[in-house]
Amino acid sequence: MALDRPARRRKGGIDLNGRRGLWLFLIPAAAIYIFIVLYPSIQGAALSFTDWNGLDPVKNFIGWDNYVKLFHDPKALASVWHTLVIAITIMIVQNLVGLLIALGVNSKIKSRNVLRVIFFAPAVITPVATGYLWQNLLGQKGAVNEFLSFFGVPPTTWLGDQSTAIWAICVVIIWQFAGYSMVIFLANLQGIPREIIEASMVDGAGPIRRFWSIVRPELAPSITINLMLSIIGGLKIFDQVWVMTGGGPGGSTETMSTFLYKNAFQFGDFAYGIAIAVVLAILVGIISGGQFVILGRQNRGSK
Amino acid sequence: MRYKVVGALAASTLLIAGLAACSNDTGSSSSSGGSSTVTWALLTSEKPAADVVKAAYEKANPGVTINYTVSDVDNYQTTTRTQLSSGTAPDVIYTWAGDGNPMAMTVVQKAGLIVDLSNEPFASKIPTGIAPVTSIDGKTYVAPITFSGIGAAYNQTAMDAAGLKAPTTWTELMAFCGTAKSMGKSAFALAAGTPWNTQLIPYALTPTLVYGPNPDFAAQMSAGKVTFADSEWKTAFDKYKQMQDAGCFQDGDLGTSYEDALKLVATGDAFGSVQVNSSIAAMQQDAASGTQFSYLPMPANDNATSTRMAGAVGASYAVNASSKNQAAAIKFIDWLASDEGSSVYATAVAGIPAIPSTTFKADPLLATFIQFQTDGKTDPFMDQLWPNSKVQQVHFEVLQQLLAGSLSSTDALKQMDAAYAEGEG
Repeated sequence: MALDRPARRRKGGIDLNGRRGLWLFLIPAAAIYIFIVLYPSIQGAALSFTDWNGLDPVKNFIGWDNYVKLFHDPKALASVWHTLVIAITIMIVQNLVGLLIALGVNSKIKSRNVLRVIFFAPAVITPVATGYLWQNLLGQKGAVNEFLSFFGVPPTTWLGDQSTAIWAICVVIIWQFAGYSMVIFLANLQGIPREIIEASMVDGAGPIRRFWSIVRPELAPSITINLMLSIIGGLKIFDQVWVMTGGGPGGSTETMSTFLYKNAFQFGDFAYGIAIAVVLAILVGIISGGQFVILGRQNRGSK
Repeated sequence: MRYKVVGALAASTLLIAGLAACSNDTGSSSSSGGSSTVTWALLTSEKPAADVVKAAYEKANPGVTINYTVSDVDNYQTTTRTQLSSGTAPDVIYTWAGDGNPMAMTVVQKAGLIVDLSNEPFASKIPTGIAPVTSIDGKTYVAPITFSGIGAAYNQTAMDAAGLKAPTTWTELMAFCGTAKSMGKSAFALAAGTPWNTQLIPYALTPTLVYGPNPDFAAQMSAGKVTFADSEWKTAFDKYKQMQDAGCFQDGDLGTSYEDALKLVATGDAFGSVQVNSSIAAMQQDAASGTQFSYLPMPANDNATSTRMAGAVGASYAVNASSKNQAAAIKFIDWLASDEGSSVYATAVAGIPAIPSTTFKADPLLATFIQFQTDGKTDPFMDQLWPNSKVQQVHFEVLQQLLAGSLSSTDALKQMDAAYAEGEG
């Protein structure tokens, strides 16, 4: 070996290789993060304890009133419920669909590259644009009803019916982002060594057994990341709902995000809107944190 | 190396000093009154007027430049509110007349953000019908430019072909719905999938049912003497539901968007739709060339002479109190509200001037509506006299539930009363 390894510690210098030294690299990024994200967020959150309307120079401190109001407001509670329904539905269905597509296009079928692109394409479209697109497709005389009429299904106003609107929105979101989950699963699938799969085939494992015992444990990291991303995306869902139903009909698709937007910007109740945002942030924190811990434990177990 | 640093520092200092000098220059020249720039913020829907007004005003006032920005309602409200509270808003700002909206006159005036325009020449010419929504305690704060109405827009070509006549009484209206239905068409296209469109029929019915018979209704309501639930508003809601039950609207009304509803009328699949008059222009664009339209009041009872229309200030503007260019801004707003200015503006947006203008030539389509305005048979849009913007949002929401059959008219109106009772916000 001609290369000399650098001395582990230079006299009088800072130990850049040790654990403590690494923290130094964090300082610039952390300073910017604190200044741009954390400080304004905390400052903003503090406004939820006032009665500010977003306009007046005067704000009065009113303590926990906005939070008390929130937990007694049936519309706020309904929006929390709708948010959870959407988030959980998306988390489960989007990942199942994404995984199935990933397994499909990871096989040796012809034109698999074209299929990969087609399945991923919706994910690169702006959610607002897909919202408008599907609003048309799901209309009374839209393509969906036209297609279903071939099978004798009477036309339904998918977005205009209080019992179907929320599910129609879930379908649109899943349509858009299943390809996104697929890409993450696919990257992981391609990292699984051929040898393990071949060995299991030699041992006589069928496709289902092979998936469950060999592929699934190997997929643990992508399952974790996909579940996290989809639940967080589902909890803060706004664009598609806003465009397709605006929270209607009759508030049946109101999510926490649309509800907080309405309160802050349409009703001029800024402080209440912020209180809802704080609750949403805490909810996202708890759910994704809990999920992270549970899945992290599973990841270690599967290896 | 050191010289380089010093040189760079010196250069940048000079540059900053130079920039500061430049900005001082423009500052002093605009205050001298020779040449100046007036910034103007308006809604996307007013865009057709912006270019025409800019050209006409700049031509009449050499040296003055109008810089305008347009944005959509939601964006406009958020951005302008933020700019107003931080003192960076444009000089002349679109401000909704009355109350009931985050960027409405009463809301921004209360925060002391707009200028008193009572001494301007247009202030004394504002018709009494709209004075309540352009002034507070006798002082004028916004210049009303256009006047909009809510009525039934009919595809006259399709009506003539089917041998139908626009109904003038409630009984005729019900019969009209039945005939249309038997032809496989719908009498009225309803865009109940677009929240703000749900309110148009109650707004078209209540002038005849509520505000005409009792002109003091809004004042009595604000004094807490009357409520939605105990008034003829209930009749209006019940009639709305009755129209739906009688098949006046197309199938899937709750899933129909505003654009789709206009298309239904344009193509003749529906004979009419209750809309704001500015929507007719959009219908004309969708329709085959040569298609004739008519714009008439919605009957709400069987006494045709008692029929009234909702008519209110459409576009109105205020001057930013922290504008550094107030004199020029007020001069511009005076021109906007003048005979000439309002006529140029209204023609561009296919509307009518809020302060009657002698130079204005109206589209014959709007003749009936203008006659109603002249005869004083119009009532302001109801939300302009509501104490907060929540009442209107609740109105949209309960109407969707009413049409979906999941809420009774009384319970719907009680929810609106509750939002009204929350007071100013």
